[in-house]
Amino acid sequence: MFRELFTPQLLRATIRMTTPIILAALGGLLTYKAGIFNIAMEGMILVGAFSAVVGGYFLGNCWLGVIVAILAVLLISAIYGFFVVKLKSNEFIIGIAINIFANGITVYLLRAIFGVKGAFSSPEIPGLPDVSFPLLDKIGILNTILNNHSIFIYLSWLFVLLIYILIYKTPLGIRIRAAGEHPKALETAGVSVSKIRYITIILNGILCGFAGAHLSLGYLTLFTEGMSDGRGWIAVATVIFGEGNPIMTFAIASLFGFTDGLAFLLQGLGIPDRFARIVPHFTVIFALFIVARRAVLKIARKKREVIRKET
Amino acid sequence: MFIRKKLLLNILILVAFVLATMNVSCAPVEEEKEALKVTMVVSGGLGDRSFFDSGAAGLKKAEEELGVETQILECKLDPSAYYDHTLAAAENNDLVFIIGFQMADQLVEIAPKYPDTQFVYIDGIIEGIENVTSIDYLENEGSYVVGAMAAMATTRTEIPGINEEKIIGLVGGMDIPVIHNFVVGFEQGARDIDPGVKVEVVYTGSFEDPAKGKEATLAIIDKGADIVFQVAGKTGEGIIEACKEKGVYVIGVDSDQGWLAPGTVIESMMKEVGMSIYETIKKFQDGTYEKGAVYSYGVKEDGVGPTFSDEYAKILPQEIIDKMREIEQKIISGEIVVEEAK
Repeated sequence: MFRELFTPQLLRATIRMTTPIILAALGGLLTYKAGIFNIAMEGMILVGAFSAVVGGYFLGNCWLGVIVAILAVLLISAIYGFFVVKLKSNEFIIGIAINIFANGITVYLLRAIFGVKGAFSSPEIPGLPDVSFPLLDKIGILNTILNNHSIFIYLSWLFVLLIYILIYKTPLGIRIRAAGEHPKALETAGVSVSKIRYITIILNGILCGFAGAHLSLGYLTLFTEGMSDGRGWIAVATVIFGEGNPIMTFAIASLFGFTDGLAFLLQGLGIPDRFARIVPHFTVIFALFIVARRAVLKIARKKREVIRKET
Repeated sequence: MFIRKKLLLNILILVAFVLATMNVSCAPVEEEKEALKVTMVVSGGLGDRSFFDSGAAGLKKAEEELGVETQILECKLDPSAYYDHTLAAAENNDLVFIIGFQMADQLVEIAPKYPDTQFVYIDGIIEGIENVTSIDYLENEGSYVVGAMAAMATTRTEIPGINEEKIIGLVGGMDIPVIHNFVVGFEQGARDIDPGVKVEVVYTGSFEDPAKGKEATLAIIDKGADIVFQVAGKTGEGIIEACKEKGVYVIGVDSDQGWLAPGTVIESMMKEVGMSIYETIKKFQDGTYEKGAVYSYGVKEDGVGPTFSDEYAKILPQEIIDKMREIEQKIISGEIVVEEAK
């Protein structure tokens, strides 16, 4: 049973299913660090996915599709940023508004541009290339797991590292964290909090554009209404569990991907679908429990230390 | 200054709202006394290139050929819309089609309050209400035929893309009775041809997630499946793509899906929702419509089954096609009894 479940294919599927989530989550955690709790990733992925197909189809090049996706998501991000940073609206309400708007506008434009409802697929949509590493194919199992993935899968790993460095090792990163933890201090130091928040919203827009383009040009080469199907929400969840740390967030996103893939294989063993589908959610609740417990213990320890110092 | 800006914004939003609602309330004004008013309420959305689109096509045909006035209300799988849309349709129509098993409760509640309106519940059975007629599809029969086809084809390694393993697959949208009915028929059809054929069944848990559909399909293709029956609505787009990418075959569902991926779709299991809607409207006009009846559409009524289109004859050997026709005859004559899962 173990052998049947934990195949290299499962790890390969895990990698595939993790990528759209982590790309969006990386954007979300940047705004999270800067003090904006962004729940608009779902809508932004959807807009990215749609505009990538539009751009790719009409311009005939997948990379131009990606650029169109980024521009479209940046446009949405501009609206988001204007309301959240400039007008200081409630970020939840604006987030929900963006999500609903994204769903509506993509359905409407799908009709207006392609004259179809529901789904658009065509051989003329240029897919993003797969990357094969010449040395990897010598090593059997690693080749099955790691080689010949769509390009954004490798890029997402690179982004995890880059954003880790950005947040923890650069002056901009310190400012981003300060904007979230203590905006007044940042203001006193002469740095505009709004500017820092706008920067994270722009980066979030670019990353969500990547997530959407990957979904509709890399993972699949088609668009269907509402195809993000909750990935943006899962990204929100991974940001919370990962406490805004890119490496932790990546780990949690991979856990989601892994358990999702596992659910398919469990069904193959005769475990009822409904039960198999519990696995991802159960794992996440369990992970949340551990994270929360650790946080509680940390607070308790700090309290004890304070008491000890006082006495 | 800031307050005035806010006020301006508020007024703007208000105006936008009023305009938006006006637009909606203005739309269905046209009224003609003569024409029969038919409304179709679908639980999902149009554009699935499958189940609901088939229904919409039938309604359109009725509009063109029978001169009825039609309207389609989409609920987009939003349960709060099931009640409202059904109610809206009940209020000023002669005939209302309720498409989608999800709306049964709402229909049972609303129908008795509108005795002058006739309701047709599609894709399931509701009995005991005078003005609710049901149209039920025997998907199991159609699935039996394509199951038998897949079991025969999976051993024909001379067809490109068919491997040596006797494994076929089915990817379902959700673990629900309607989909089970496809599954039992498909499994029985395969088993009756060759008990050694293994059917890998997997559910994605969504009718709207093509990425998950692709992933589920890749998982069973990895296990050796070379013909996959997709029963998953929009999720099916991803299933078809996975099969195309891996060079194996897919069986389309509800509508003829061959055009979505020529050469990859090996056959389509039709569910003639449109045909049954058209026929029902015709019966209604002729006066042969039976109130409260249950119409079953199986292989015999041509309501379900393969397309037998020439496109697929390019892939399938003639003897398999002949055998499929033979099986259909046996189902009609009652020689083969297909299990049910409803």
